[in-house]
Amino acid sequence: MSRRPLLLIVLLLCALAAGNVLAQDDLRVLRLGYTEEPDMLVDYTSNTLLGWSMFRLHSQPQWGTTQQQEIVPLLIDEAPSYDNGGIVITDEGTQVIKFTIADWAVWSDGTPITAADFVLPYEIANDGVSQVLAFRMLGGLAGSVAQGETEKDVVVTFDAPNPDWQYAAIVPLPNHILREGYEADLANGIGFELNSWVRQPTVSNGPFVFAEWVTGSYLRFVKNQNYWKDVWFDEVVLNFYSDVSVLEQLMVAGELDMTRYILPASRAAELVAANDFLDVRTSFGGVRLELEYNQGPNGHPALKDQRVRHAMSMGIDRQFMVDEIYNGIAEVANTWWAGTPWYNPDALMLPFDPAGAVELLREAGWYDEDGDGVAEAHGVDGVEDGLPLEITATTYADIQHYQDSLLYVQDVLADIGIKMNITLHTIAEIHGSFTNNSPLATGQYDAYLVAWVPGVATVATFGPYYCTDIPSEANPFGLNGPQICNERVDELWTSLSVSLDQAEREAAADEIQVLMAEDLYTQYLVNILYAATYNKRLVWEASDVSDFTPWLNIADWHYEE
Amino acid sequence: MRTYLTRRVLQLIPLLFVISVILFALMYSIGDPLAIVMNVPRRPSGAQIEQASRRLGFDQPIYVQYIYWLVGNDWTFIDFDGDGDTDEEMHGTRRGILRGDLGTSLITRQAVATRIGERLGNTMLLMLPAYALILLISFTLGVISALRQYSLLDGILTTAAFVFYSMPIFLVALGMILLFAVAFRNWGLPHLPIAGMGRPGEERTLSTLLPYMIMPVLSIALVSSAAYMRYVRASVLEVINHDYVRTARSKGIGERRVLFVHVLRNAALPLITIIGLDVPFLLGGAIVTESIFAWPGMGMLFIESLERSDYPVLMAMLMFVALFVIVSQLITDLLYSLLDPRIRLS
Repeated sequence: MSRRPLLLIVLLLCALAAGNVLAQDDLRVLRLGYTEEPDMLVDYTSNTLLGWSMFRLHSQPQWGTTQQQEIVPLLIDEAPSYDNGGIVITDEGTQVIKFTIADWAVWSDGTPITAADFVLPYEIANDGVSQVLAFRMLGGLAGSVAQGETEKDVVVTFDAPNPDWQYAAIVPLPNHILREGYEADLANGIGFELNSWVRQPTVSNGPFVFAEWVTGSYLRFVKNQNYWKDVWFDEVVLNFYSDVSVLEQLMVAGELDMTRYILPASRAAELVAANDFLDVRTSFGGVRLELEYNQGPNGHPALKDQRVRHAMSMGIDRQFMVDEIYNGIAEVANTWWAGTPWYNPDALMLPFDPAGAVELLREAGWYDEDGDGVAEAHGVDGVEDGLPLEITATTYADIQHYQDSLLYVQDVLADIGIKMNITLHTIAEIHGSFTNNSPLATGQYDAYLVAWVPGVATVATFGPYYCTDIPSEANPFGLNGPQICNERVDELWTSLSVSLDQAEREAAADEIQVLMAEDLYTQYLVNILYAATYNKRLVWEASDVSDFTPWLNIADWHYEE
Repeated sequence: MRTYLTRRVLQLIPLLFVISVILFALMYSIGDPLAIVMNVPRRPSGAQIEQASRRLGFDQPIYVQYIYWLVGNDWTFIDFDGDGDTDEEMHGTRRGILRGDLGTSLITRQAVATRIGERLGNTMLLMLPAYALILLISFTLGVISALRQYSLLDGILTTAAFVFYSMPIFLVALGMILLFAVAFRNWGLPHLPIAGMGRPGEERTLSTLLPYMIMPVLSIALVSSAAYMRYVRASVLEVINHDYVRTARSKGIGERRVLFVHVLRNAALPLITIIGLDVPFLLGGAIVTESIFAWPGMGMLFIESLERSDYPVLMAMLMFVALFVIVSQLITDLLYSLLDPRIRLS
C-alpha cells in the first residue's frame, strides 16, 4: 500500500490544527459551560430553570430581595415601605405598593424605562392567550400593575395583603419595541410565547444584551453600554455540551471559566482535587433529597406506624451520604426549611443508631424470627402475623446520584431488617398526573426518593402535603401523592400565606417543622448544594439576591490581574 | 417501470399511516410532557397545569390528539377555561402534518420545521463527509484486502477492521479528544478544538469549520468503515472467482479494466442494499458523536427532545426518517435494474 495517502492525511490534520491555534483577541469573554440550553430567554414564557435564570443576565427587575427579605434597589432610588408611604393597606383590604423608576434607568438602546414597560408583562400574563403561568406574575397572587401619576410611577395592587410583597419583583419588557407587534398578534389569537422576541431579546436593561444564539451550540451576550454601572467583561458566552465528560475536559483545558449547577457535586469535587487552578463554590438552591412514605391505602402497613418511620430514620447515616455520595458538597437535612433562614434547629433530628432502630422495630412488633434477615409482623394491630417488612421504592432513572442514594438506603435498611425492592422511573413518569398513571400520584410504591424545590427565599411557597391536594380522578395534578395529611400543618401553612405578622409567620414555620419532623411521613435526607466549578482566574462573588440567579452582580466579575 | 413506480408510491401512503399511528402511540407512552414542561422551581398548582394541558391539547383522548396532529385543529374550538363548553373565540391554530404543519415544539415554542431546519444542515455537514470517507476507506481497503487474500496486509487490515468494529464510538471519540485536543495542548503542539462548530461570534467559513469537523468525521468514519470494508472484501472475493472474470482476463483485458468494469460493478450490487438501508439514517444524525463533540445536529436534537418529552419534534423527526427509509429503498430497487440488466422491474 502506498504511504502517500496516509502522509497526506497526517499533513492535512497538522495544517488544519496549526490553523486552529487560537488567536488571542482583546475581548474579555466570560465563558460558561452548560449541558443543556434554555428553551427561551424571557422568564414569563420560559418553562425551564435555565431560561428563568438566564432572563436575569440581560434583564433586571425594579429590586432584588435577599434571603433575609431585605430589598436591594436595582431600577429605583428608594424602596417602598410602610414608613415612607410606599406601601398602604387600604380600607377595601387591598395592599397598594408604589415605586418610582429612577431617571437614570434606561434600556440598552437608550430609551428611558417607564411604567408602561412594567404594565406590558402584566398585560401579557393576563391576556388569556399567552402561555404565562400565573406564578410568573406577582408570585401568582391576585393583583394588578398600573401606571401611577407620572410615567415613571408604578402602582402594584394586591387584592389582599401579601406578606411576601418583597418578592413581587417585575422584570419590565420594552414597551416601545414590543407593544405594536404584541397587540397585532393578540388580535390573531397568537400568544407572546410565539413571538420571536422570547428567543432574541435584543434590547434589555441588564449588564448584558443578547447578541446571538446558535441553537445547540452557544448563546452570546455583549456588554450593555447603557447599563447604570461599569461592566468588566465585554461578552458572556454560554456554551452547550451535552456530555459532562467533555465539559470537564474543557474546564481542565482552561477553555471554560465556569460551569454552574451542572457538574454533579461529587464530580466537581474530584475535578477540583485533581486541578489546583480550579475551585468549587456551593450554595443551596432548594433541591432536597427526601424519602416520602406512602400513607395511602396501597402503602405498606408498617410505614403507617411512627415508630417504624423513626427506626428507618435511625438506620440511615445521612452524614455518610454527605461525605461519600456527595463528596461533602451537600448538607444533612431534617426539615422542609433546612438550609434556609427559616430553619428551626429545635426540630427533631434522630441520630444514626442502627441498634436502637432494631430495638424500636421490635417494640413496634417487627422483628426477624425466621432468620431470613427480614423482619416480619408479630402481633401488630390490623396486620397478619408473618407479613414481611418488605417495601417497594422508586426514584428517578434519569439522575445517577438519586439512584446511588436509594441504593445506599436499601443497603442500610437491610441491616436493620427491612428489605427494599427498587424500581426506577423517569422524572416525567414519577411527577406525571393521576390520569397518566404516575407512580407517585397513584401510590404504586411504598416509598419515593424524590426532590421538591421548596424555595429558599420565602416560606409561603407551595406546600405539597395539603390534605386537600391528594391526587385523584377529580384532582389529577394533586401534589400530595404519598397522601400525607396533618390538618394542623395545613392550617399553619395557610397562615404563612396570609399573615402580615412576621412573628406569627416565624412561629408557624417553626411549628410546621417540629410537627413534620415528629411525624416523619417524609424522611428528609440531604440538601444538595449547587456547585459552581470555576477557574480561579475568575474573581466573582455569589449573589445572595433574588432566588436562584447568580447574575445580579455579574457586572463586577472580572479576571484576576 | 411507470406502473411499478406508481404502485410503490401508492404503497407509501398506508405504510406511512401505519408507521405514524405506531409512533404516535409510542410517543404517548414516553412520559407526560407536562411533567417536564412544569418542572420549574416553583411548581405550579394543579389548576394551572390543567389550564396548560387544555391549551396544548393534552386533555383530549389520544385518538383526538392524533387527528389534530394529522389534520390540525383549526376547524374546531377549544374549551379553554375547562367549563365544558367550547369557547367561540378560541379556535385551534394547528393545520396538521397533512397540510405541512409539523407542529410546535412544546419546549421552545418554535415551529418544529424551524427546529429541524436549524439542525439538518449541521448534520449534513458532518455526515456527508463522513460517509464519503467511509466509502473511500472501505472500498479502497476492502478491494486491497480481497486482492491480497491471506497476505500479511490482509491480516493487518482484517484485524484493524475487527478492532474498530468492536470498539464503541464514544471510546474512539473520547480517545481522540484526549490525544488531539488535550494531550497535544499539554505538549505545546498545535491542537484540535475539543467540541462545537466554531468560535462564538466568528463567521462560519469552511476554514473555520474544518478543524472542528476532523475528530467527529474521523470517529464516525473509522468505526463505520470497518464493517463496510468486510462487506466489500467478501463481495469482491465472491465475484473475482466467477467465470466471466476469468473469461475477461483470458481475452487479454487489462487487470485495471477487469477490476473496475467486471469485478467492482458486480460486487457493488449487495453493497447497494446496505448503503440504501444506511443512507436515510444520515438524516437522523449520529447521536453519540454529535453529543460528545457538541455538534448541534439532528442526533442532538433527538436526544434533547427525548429528554424533554418534546413529542411534536420527535414525531416529525421519526416520520422524516421513516419517509426517507422508504424512498431510499425505492431508489435502491431502481439502481438494481440499472446496474444489473437481468433485473426487470414490473
